Amino acid sequence: MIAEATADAMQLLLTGDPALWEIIMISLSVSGRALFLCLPAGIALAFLLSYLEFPGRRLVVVMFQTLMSIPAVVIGLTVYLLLSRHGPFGDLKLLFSQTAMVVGQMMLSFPIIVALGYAAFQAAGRRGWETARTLGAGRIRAFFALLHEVRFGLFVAFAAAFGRIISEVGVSMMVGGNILGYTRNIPTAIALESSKGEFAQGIALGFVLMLIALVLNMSLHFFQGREPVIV
Amino acid sequence: MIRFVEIYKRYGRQEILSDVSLEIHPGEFTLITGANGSGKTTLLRIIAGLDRPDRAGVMLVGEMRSWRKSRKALRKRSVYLHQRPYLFSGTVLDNLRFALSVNRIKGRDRRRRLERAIDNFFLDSLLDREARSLSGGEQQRLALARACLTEPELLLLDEPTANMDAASRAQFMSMLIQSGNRNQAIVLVSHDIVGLDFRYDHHFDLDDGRLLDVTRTKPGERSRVSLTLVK
Repeated sequence: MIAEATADAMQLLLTGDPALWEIIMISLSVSGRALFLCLPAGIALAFLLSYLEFPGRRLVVVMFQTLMSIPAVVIGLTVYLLLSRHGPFGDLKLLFSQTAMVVGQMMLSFPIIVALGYAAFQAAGRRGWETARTLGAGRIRAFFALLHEVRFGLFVAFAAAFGRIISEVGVSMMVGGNILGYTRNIPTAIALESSKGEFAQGIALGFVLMLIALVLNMSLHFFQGREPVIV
Repeated sequence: MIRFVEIYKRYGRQEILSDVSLEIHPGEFTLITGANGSGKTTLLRIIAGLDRPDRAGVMLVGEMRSWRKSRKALRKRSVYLHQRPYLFSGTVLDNLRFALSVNRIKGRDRRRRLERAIDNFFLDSLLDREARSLSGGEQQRLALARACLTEPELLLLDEPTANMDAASRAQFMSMLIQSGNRNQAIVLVSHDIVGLDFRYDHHFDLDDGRLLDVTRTKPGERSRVSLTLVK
């Protein structure tokens, strides 16, 4: 049965099945938007946590590190309660929309970017920042110089966050509603097709998820070149 | 001339600097010695505008102000070299160019400074090398060349020869003396000046948080570091 389903899955992928590719594009679009929306704020916060001394800084860091492993379904439930008709943002009527999925995935990826970004900046230490400043760079220029220094670490944060949200089911299912052609993405489609006993599409979409992971990791290696990883 | 008055700095219960006052004159070489942990680096970082003292007055262009209000001006006038220099990822030439570009030095002046730094610090054969793959002595040489490119009024060196052998130390000090312009003040801190051979204008010893003037010269004369000065 597995061999037969796998053969069917390959056929679906290679023939460019429109329903399959629509699901893939929704996944990439929602997760891509979520990541790019929270990336600047996540990196900025990671930087501030690394270089700014303030009371409770360590507590904030520990909080974000803890939030990295929060179950997606808990985030899904939180966003659901916030956006449901009787919730504080019910009037916005965002439940079961791609926007709701983007919000939920942002809440999932933000702690990962902050925690891993923080680790990358910490690894670079204060000397990079101080050297740029003492050589005459303004704050903005020194910040970008430092971003360049920790780029591999930040790319790892990006890849980890993307890997987490592209494959999560909890948020997408609870606040997206798994609506065909609108909010049905790769993980929710796999869950649905498997529950119906239609394994071919599930396996095909599983291949796509693995391919995305492979492309991310290969691009990380390509990006690093021969230089050592900072984190 | 820059005058620092009544610098106080404490870490927890330990008083690192207590009523330290210091004058730095253009074109003069100031040597500060002291045991490990005596506060030399702290003092140098306060002078560079990097670390905040508990209390300090700074006289710049004839006006006495608090350290906090002088911080920006101190950073603008000085370049601080870490004991273990931070080199940006990229080649030796990339590091030199960084110092020029953040200071918006362009055209003929840019070429002049670059050529001078390459000649003075014997970097010609190293330009295309990865900066971080250089030996310790070469890295320190590059860091000094990069600092000198910005032609700071005040060059602050934190134990620059700590990890060098005798020959490298002598070469480094020779390049340091030759590279400075007439108006550039140099402050060098070191816990160990054995094997160093250079002339200085002022010699202070930092002991128990206090700065003692141990210069053995008449005004206007330069003394020479020798083994007799080492405790």
